[in-house]
Amino acid sequence: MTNLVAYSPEYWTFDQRGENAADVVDAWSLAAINAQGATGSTLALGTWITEPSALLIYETQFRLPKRAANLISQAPDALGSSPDRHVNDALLNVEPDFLLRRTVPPPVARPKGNTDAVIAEWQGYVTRISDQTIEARLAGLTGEGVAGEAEEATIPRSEVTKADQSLLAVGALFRLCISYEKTPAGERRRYSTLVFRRLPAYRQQDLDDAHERTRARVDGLRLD
Amino acid sequence: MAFDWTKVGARPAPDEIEISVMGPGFGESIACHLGTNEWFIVDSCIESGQARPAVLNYLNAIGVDPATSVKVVVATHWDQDHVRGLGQVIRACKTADFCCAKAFVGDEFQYYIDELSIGPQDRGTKDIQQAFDAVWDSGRTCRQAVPGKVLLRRSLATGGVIELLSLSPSDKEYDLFLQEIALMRPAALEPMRVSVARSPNLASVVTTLVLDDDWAVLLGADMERRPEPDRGWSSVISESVRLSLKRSVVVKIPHHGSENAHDEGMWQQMLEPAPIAVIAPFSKGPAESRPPTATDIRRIRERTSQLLVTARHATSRPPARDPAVTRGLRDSDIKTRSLAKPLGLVRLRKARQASWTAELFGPAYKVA
Repeated sequence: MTNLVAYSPEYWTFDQRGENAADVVDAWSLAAINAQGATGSTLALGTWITEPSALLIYETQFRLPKRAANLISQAPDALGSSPDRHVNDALLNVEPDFLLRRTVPPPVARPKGNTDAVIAEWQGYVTRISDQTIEARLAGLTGEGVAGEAEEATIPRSEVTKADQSLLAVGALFRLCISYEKTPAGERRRYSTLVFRRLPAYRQQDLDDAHERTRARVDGLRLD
Repeated sequence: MAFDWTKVGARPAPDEIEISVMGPGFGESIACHLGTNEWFIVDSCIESGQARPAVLNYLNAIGVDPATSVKVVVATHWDQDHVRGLGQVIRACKTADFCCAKAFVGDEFQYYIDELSIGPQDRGTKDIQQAFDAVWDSGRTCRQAVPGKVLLRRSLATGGVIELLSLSPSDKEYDLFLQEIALMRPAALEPMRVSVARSPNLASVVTTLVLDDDWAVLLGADMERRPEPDRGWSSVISESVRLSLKRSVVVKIPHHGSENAHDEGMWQQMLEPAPIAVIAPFSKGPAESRPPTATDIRRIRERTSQLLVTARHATSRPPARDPAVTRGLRDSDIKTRSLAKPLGLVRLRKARQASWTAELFGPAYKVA
């Protein structure tokens, strides 16, 4: 018995946040099916749902009848062309040990193109931190009425993710984005992201070089 | 709306003194005419959306060539709102000496600004670095401001000697400035960050322009009130008493009129009763605390014959943008305030035997 992993867009839907999520699933699924060939009897049906900070794997298993296995084995080019059709053809003939239940929202038509759209983006740095808020200076990068504008901002500390808490300091650089995304149900959702940048540390060599430049300049200043 | 430089008219007459204060609500710059087309400049600011410092636009508009007419450029301190475009100003004023606090030309501060160039920098640090690059490139003299130093002296064709003197920073402020810079300097293995000064007004250079026993003008920079006798306005007042300086009839109010720069001793011992006062506001931070507040205006107005302000606290509402952006920020309880403010100009002129006349341009206004 070989466990297989496959997916069907007819039954499962994918969050579109990860641009190549569906492609990754395709390759992995089909590779597994191909390895199993016509001899397997159990198919694990899996999919990924990508979340902003996690990769979730939903998986279930059912028995793959001989007929379905034959269909897969008769499609040696499944990896190379029209993989969805071959996998779907196989799954249509599946007689599961138990009923498949959808663990994700019902399928929706895949939105065309990239569904995440950044409508405003700023680069900023922290100028002051208090108990509840962060004061920051912003330089607008993207968006009508945003790009090229200098602003200051008061941001709730709750907007800083746990992962970025250690980076929060006066002078720390961050990106602030307002974006749209398509939910799995096809609705448009607006969200903001505040991401602190991990900058490299100062190197002693760079500091030494800077000191040499300084020395030359200070020595050259005509002071009165 | 951009400032209309075509409306500022012509340069002053050779015997006219001029004090022009420009303030876009975030930043200030002063152009002073000493007579016979000789000028000095204090600090630099840039109007929102413009690339050229306001003071260069002004001199250009009234037909003054900064390359030959400006004799001294003073940087009172290194806060962002006083040094925007300072490097451009120094490069344009080819024959001017540069003047700043002595602490700025010491090794500690110079090391610091070079070290910061390795990582991300804020605008103010870049500006002060560009200013020193301009000074160094041109090989001109860098005059170190200390209390009681004559920065410029001219004999006027109409008689008399006019002097520009620095009255600060005190030795104590110098020490504190170096201590702060020492704490801020980056060290190896520390993560790079934008350097944010904790006390950017430390070591501010207060200056006074004095014409013999005739009159004086006090330019208060961002000097703050301090309880210690050897710091802040206390030390400046002591110096003015020591030098027996003439009391000023015109004052550029220190630190945008904020309460923390109000020192009763300055009003009592350094200014004539009911002087003319000029404020360049500071339209940054929460609306209720931006200097000058209504309370600041009342406090200063009752001590002056005229109170002139370069700009109103303009709306901090960001420019028109996608409503979804506004809603997105609101949903996350993120409040943004625009730093783009309109530029205003207060101009005071005085012929030898005449009294001071005030002109207002752009959003500048006179407090009733």
